[in-house]
Amino acid sequence: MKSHINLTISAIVWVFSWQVIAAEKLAVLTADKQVSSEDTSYALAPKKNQGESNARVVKKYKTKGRTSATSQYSTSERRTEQSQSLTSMTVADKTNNEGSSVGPAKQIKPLMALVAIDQKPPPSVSPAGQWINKGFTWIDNWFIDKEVKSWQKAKLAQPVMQPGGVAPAMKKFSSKIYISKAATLGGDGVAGGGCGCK
Amino acid sequence: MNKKIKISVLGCTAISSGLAQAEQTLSLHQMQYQEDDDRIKVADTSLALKLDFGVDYSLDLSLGYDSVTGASPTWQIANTAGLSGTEAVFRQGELEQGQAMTDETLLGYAHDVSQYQIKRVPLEDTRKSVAASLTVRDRYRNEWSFGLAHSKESDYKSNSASASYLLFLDKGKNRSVNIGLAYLNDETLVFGTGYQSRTEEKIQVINFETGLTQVLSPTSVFDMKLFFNHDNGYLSNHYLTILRGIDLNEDNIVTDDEYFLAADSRPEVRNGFGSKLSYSNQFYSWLTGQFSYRYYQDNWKIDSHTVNASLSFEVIDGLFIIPEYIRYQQGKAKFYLNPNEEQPYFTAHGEGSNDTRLGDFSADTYGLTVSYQIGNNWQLDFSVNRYEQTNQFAASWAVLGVNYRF
Repeated sequence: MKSHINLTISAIVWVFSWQVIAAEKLAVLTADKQVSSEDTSYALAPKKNQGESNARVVKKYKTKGRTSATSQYSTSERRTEQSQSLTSMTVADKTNNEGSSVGPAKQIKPLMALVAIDQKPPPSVSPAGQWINKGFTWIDNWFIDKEVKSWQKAKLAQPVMQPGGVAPAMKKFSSKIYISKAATLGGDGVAGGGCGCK
Repeated sequence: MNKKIKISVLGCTAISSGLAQAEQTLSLHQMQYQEDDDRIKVADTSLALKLDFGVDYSLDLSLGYDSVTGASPTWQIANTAGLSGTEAVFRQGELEQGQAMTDETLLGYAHDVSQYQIKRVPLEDTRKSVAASLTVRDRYRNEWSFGLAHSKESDYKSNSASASYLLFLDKGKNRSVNIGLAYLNDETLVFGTGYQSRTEEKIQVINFETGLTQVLSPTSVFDMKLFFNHDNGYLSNHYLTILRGIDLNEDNIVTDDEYFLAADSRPEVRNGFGSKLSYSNQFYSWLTGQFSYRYYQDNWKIDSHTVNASLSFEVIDGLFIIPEYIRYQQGKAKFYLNPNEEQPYFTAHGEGSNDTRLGDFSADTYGLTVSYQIGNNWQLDFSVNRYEQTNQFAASWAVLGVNYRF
């Protein structure tokens, strides 16, 4: 069981690391593109200035590009603007590739694939779930001190915490006996077949 | 960046939950059940297979085979062997006369009420069952489950279909509601007048259940369920009998020679409802407790309270010892009479049963389960249980099983 938990934790860490790296990479590439869009002279600059322009790209991203975008626009507006910017970049880069031997610093296609990661993720709760949850917010107020985070649920996921515990088959047998020796049943799920023993 | 990290965490949470569930399990369990006084013995074997297809689909399959042997106590006529032809004709005539005066099924007649005795009637039967359940998860990790089940005995056949839905309510997946519905269409063979015929009767059952599950802390979870059962059709037990007094000569007095052996008779509709509360807490990494309480009530005036407590001790890595105690208390049905009363007789009309399972009693179950995980693939389960009712009934059973994960 512990080896399974270790495997799961390793997988979580691996996927988490990969996604963070991907997100970082996306951020840098997006900054490149934004700066190039604002000042195409960086992209068209001669080779000897390439290192300097890259340094300025990162600097601009950290100071101007992201800060202003975050403060002025909503998430959806930013995303739309980002897409439009990418589209215009594609055209501009193509033009540059055709007209200049220097070319853009980054490829567009991988960038587009990474942008997909930055899309707004699907809501983690369905609309029906959100709507029904409005009727249960009193539980949070009365009984829940602190929301349990996803990474705090290792113990809750253990078989010993599941209905039936580590040996759920035992419960099936005992339930069958109880329904044949007493007159009441219910509360243990709806699945299952009938029995003449009742 | 913060937003992106959050996205990444959500993504890996979804994937990790899938990884945790991506497990195939094959299980084989066998139960040996025996009632005290050598009444009924049951050998029940179950083979189950759980398959995960990616993170979105799970399939559960199970096969069951159980055999029942022994004897069940019920009213019978003493000394029927060696009955003369004249006597047999006379009894048959009385039976037909009595049957004409009631809608309830009469099964036999004796000259005197003292000739009826509770005797053990031998029985032997086998039950074969198959069940399948498919679980489908959507992009919110909500779950649809669809189930089919079929079982067959020599005199009982059951087909059922069920569907249930698990809906998460909050982004942390700490709160969920579930709703389930099952429909059973059963058939049973029933004895006719004088045990001279058998007819096929239908039983239709609808089970509805809804509930709320709430994670309270990283080590505890609470669950509340409401359920409703609707049974319709032949709900009597055709193996069980009662005694009915029928005033054959219509003198407004039922004399000792006016009692008949009759079929157990229950209402054709039964509506029951109830609630179950469950709480699980991992007190320490080596000690987990599961507790529940269930209340039940129906229109037969039966009500019951069930309290269940179990503690799981992980004494060494992978070895669990689980003592369990269940207390059950039940109120009697409105048409039930205790067969051990001085005059457990019913009138010519109306429902009636001496089935002690419909009576008022309490029961205690003491169980001890040992589960040991050997390596990454194998798990052995062993359980012994003792069940005692206040109405002198008692039984014991043991289960041995093996699970293989791959």
